[in-house]
Amino acid sequence: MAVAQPRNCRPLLGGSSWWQLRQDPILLLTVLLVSAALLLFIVYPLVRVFLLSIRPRDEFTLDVYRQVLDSWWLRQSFLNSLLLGTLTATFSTIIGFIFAFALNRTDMPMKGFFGQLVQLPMISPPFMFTLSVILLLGRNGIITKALGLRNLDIYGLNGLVLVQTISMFPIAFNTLNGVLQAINPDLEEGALDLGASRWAVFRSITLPLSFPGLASAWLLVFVNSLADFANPMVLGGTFDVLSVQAYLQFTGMFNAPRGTALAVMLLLPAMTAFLVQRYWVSRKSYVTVTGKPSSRRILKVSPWLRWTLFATCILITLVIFAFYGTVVAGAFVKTWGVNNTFTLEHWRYAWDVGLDSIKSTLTLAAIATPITGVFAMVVAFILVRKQFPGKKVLGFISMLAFAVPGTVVGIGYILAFNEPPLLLSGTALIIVLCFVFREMPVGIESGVASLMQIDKSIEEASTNLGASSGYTFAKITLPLIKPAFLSGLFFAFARSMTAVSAIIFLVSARWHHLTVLILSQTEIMRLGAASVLSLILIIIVLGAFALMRLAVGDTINRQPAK
Amino acid sequence: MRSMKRAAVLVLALVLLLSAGASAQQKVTAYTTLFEPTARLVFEEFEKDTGIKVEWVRLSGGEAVARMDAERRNPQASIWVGGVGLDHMTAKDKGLTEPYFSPNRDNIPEQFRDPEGYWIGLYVGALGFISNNERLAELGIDPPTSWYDLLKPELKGEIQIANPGTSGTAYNFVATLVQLWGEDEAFEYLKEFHKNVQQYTRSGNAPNQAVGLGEVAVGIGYAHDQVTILQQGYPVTITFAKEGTGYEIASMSLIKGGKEMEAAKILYDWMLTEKAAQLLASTNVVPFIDVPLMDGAVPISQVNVINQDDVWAASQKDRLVEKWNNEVFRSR
Repeated sequence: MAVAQPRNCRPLLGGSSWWQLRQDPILLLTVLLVSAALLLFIVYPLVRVFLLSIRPRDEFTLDVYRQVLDSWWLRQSFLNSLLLGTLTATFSTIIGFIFAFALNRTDMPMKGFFGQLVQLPMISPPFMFTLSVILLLGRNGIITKALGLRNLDIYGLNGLVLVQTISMFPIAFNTLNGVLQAINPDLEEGALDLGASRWAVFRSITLPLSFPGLASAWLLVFVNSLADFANPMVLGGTFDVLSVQAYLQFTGMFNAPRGTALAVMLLLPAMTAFLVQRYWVSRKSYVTVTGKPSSRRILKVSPWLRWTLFATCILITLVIFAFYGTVVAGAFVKTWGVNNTFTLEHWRYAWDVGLDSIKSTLTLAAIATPITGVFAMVVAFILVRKQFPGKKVLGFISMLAFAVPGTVVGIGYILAFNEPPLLLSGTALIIVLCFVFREMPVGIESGVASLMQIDKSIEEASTNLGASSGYTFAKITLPLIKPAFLSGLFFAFARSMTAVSAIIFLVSARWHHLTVLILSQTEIMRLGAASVLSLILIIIVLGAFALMRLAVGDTINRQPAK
Repeated sequence: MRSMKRAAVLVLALVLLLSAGASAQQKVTAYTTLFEPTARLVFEEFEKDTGIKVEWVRLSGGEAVARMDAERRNPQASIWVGGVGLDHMTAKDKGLTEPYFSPNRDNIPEQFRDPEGYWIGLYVGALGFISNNERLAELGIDPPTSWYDLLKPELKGEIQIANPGTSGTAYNFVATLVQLWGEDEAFEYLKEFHKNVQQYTRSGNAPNQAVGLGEVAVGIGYAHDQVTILQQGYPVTITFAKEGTGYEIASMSLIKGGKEMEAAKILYDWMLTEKAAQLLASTNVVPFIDVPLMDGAVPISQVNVINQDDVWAASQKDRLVEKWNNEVFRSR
């Protein structure tokens, strides 16, 4: 086993964590601030909703939970959610790893292109994506008809796994990409020089070292799939999942207690997966970045592997292109699927109705993104590097808002922040806060995965030479985890631009959101306008990605640490 | 350099947040369940007439009630325009709305407004069948004109309707059948009907869309939504059940504890004028006030509608939906 050993293994005695806190006022302050923020903006709103389920009428009762556990159709929804989450997470992680490996460890052609493309599905405006799938593969879809697959049924598990995998594998890719970039190729090269076969190197070095990343990626997609309700809502058919049931209880039956109980049930598998992953991964060391000079060469892979990877990437690319091509086509034809004459009228219409929403959405996302990115890295840093009491709880809480269906978060935010002294409803701030605390876990997870690979003696050298822990974080740690930071930013921005389920309860006339407008256009079958708005949204997000890459890249190059 | 950038971003954010506060014009915040273009049209015209700006948020009926309920202690909006009458009755029962007797209320027939003044009807929409012409031709059948036509074996897996638990439209369908035939016979029918249903959708309008795209042959929904699909150019036909069909009363309520009640009441009164009715009619619906209708819009007088009791239907909703869940939906 070629896993490098960390050089500094301080025993983690209970007392040492208090000691470390007292020694380091900046750390103390950071921990306090982070905990306060998490308590106020994650725990408090969720507790407010939770209270509805155990105190529906001024007295404590567990009746709601008893009812939920008693009804077999809700149990079936629960099992369906687990099945869907497991399949989606597994496929997404595999595809994400294939892309990350191909881009980082081979000299496959068109790598720049694939690197850009893989970010695309993250930007899937809600409902538009499922609509594309219906137009292509539905019972009357273009592909269905062309291939004569009249019996193809995409409504249900198969269709859901397809749509979720395509839209969620970028999350897995981004985590794994950061991790593979951080694995020092010297290790692999060294093993090759010593005569190991390529397969042996992959099996005994690359794969085990990617393990924290694989586990993180799987967990993130799994949790994301459990909380997703837009896709199952449209494509579910008779396949019921818990997130949809929770939404329906809130907005269809006005039964908030039962809706909350379902959301709590949804938390159980997510949290179990989280704990298992943390426990498993934390038992080993994955440090390979030690500060010693290393070559950044690309390893040779066999032509056979190279072309297999290439073919797989192309295949996924085609699927993505088909989905997005449908949106593009929809933006330029009169009536999708019926009257395919070219027109620009949707653009004029979309511009008229959408301009304000576009501005407001962009502002909200632009404010939320940097805050999310930096906050996530700070949390990841203190989780991996620092010892302090209550650390495990903090890690656990940071994942909560991500694992709860958006409807529940949205309702919780209104309940919590609609009264003085925390009167935030109707403001931009409530939406920004919701984005920050809901989309932060992806940044945290990739940050944690990357940090576990970086030897902390690099940072210790900095502190030993007299730098404060804040300075060390900004000048040493942040640059070293740049890929994770970027992926956190990308995700936060893309999700802030495409969020809908929580936002529908928080938008106001002044602070509006583009996705809500897209949704209302699809409701009246103005698919053309919906396509145009979706396309504008995609273009904005892609532009922002390029800007962020530039901005973060620039800052890094000026760092003396490199 | 970096700290300057950061400072610039912070200042920008502050300016944006602050600028959100200042506005002198009188305004009213509304939740609306009208379709987005309809809301835009109606509220812009209201602003032209009165100088009062409507700040509106579009929500589905269920979302509107859920949001009003969560905001109950500090309501953010003062009026809720549109949405099926049943949802307005739910809001009344939950104590979310407050009574108002508008001077213009007599423009609306008495059976379409709450005697206690909590809600008032704006327009009516009958439940209709929407059929995809191409799909029906493939199956070799005619558009349905009776509830029993929906039980034809040719239509197996070819019908969509929304889920009564989530959609006022679909609950309207269930309540109509119960009022038409009595509960036992209606549920026997629903169990048979269930075998032909491909999917129970979330939103009441989704079946109309699916039929437009040819995903299924027949959908059940409100005729005015179906006319919109027809006008977008999709190959569909709209028909009605000859035994009698149900209808929705799209309504309006004032929100209890709203902060701009004065302006909200002006909007309320204005929504009950002939001008507002004309604007509503231009989006294919059939207002209660007699105004010229759009081509394709079906006046309620030309449809055989049942003698519908919405107050009864609202009071039975929880029970009937639970029964439907247990006896029909979960029976596979």
